[in-house]
Amino acid sequence: MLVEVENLRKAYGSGPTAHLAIADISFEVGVGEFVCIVGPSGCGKTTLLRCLSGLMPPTSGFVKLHGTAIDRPPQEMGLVFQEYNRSLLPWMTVRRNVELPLKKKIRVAAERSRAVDDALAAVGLTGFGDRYPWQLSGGMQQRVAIARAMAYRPEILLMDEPFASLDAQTRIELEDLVLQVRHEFGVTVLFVTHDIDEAVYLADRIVVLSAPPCTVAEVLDVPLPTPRNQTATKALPEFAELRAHVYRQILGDR
Amino acid sequence: MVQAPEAPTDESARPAADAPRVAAGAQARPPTPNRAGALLRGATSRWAGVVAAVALWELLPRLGILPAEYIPPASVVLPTLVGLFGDGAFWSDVGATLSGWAIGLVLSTVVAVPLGLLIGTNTALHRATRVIVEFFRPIPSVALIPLAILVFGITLDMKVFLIVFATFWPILVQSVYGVQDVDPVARDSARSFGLNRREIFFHITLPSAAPYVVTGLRLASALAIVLAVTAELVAGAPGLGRSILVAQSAGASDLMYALIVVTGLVSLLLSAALSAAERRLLHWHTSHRAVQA
Repeated sequence: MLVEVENLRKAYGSGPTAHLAIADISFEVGVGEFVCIVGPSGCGKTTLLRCLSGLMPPTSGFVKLHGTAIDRPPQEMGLVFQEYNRSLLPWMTVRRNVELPLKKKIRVAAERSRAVDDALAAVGLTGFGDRYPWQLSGGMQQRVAIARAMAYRPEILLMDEPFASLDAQTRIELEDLVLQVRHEFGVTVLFVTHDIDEAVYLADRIVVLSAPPCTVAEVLDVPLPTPRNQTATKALPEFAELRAHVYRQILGDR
Repeated sequence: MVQAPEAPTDESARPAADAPRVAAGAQARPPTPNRAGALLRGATSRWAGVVAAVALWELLPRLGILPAEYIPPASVVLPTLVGLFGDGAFWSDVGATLSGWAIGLVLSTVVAVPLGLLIGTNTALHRATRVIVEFFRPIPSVALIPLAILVFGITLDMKVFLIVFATFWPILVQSVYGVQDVDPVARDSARSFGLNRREIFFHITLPSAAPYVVTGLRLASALAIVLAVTAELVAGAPGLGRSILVAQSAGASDLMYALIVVTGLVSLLLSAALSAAERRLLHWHTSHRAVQA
């Protein structure tokens, strides 16, 4: 297994005022899988992601990568945050933003420059390298963030509600972009979202979280045919069934 | 000028959190005739204001509405002012005032900025220094003039001491704010990509703090020129301030006014130069992004 989450628990504070964000979460992610994590609002998805990425230590339990527990952000992960406009640095051009994490990984400047070009090409931003992030639309900024993560050549692409602040059409474009990037780079994707349709459309497997304090309600295989297609896949009866199933898990029968 | 430690009310003290983003392709559009016209009208009305003020300055003493013996009309003062530009003693006054400004500001900056960045990143240090800073910051620098004269005599050092004392606090406080306002998402991104503490400091923390530090410098520069002239006026250190006093006691009110105008012009030029430098350095910041319709 590439990633193993074992009895992860996270409480903020201690004593009687402690807030238990995550009670107990365990699941596994295999090499090359696309796993979506969905849950009701306020169910500690962001806390989970911060633990998964090694940005925050869990109160107890482990996140293991290749069998070893992580205690800091591992080199094998590339992160994409929801807040692209805060995650990208406004004082750096698009090119320098993508290049910054590569300084230590790729020592030769020409190779590094080529890696940046390749990553920008993969997200359809060739020719935008000399712009500043704030000169681009939200969708394009999130493409830059994806390019930055992919240029880092991670084994795992970790995405925290990456399209939640984009409009519906841009979101659809970027969903397909992520599927394409995943296919091109053969990367494993761990995708946190609150959007059930998005999760069913993208995932090979869905980890459904319960209301807080958060546990795993269900791990669900998504046996929809690939490649996915926004109209054809979403028109399948299986898509509707899976979607309804996850809705019931999260929202109850409404 | 004095800001509360937690929530500065002065708009300029805190960079705007967010501003409308500029869509791609919106820049580098040549000004349309309409815009050029608007710019011209803007310039015209600006200068019209200046012309009107000078006209009033000329008319009010001439018509006897203001006493001409204390307030000579523009036509008397302005030739004196122009005459100053050919006067070597005048330029050494300007030099003396400006060197106080420059040395004081540089000393303050090289100490206050690193110290502010250090205090801002260290919670314990911030707590420990807070009361001290809040005690010293409101002390008017001019209250220290007798002390400064006692210690340094009537020297450039005395002037520099007063300027450093006045400008140290705004620069320090702004640096502390700046370093504390680093966006956690930006820092998390950098950490997730394996940047170490040194890299995070230079690539994330320092540029994030820069708009605050620059605001501190702008406040400090204005204070420094006030303090330089005050020290010259009150303590008699060489410079524009002392010459204003000398002109006044010699009854040369035209010269006194000319020198007062010069101090205004010097402040104006310094502030314009700083603003220009700021626009260059912080062109990426929300307050400087070129927004075109």
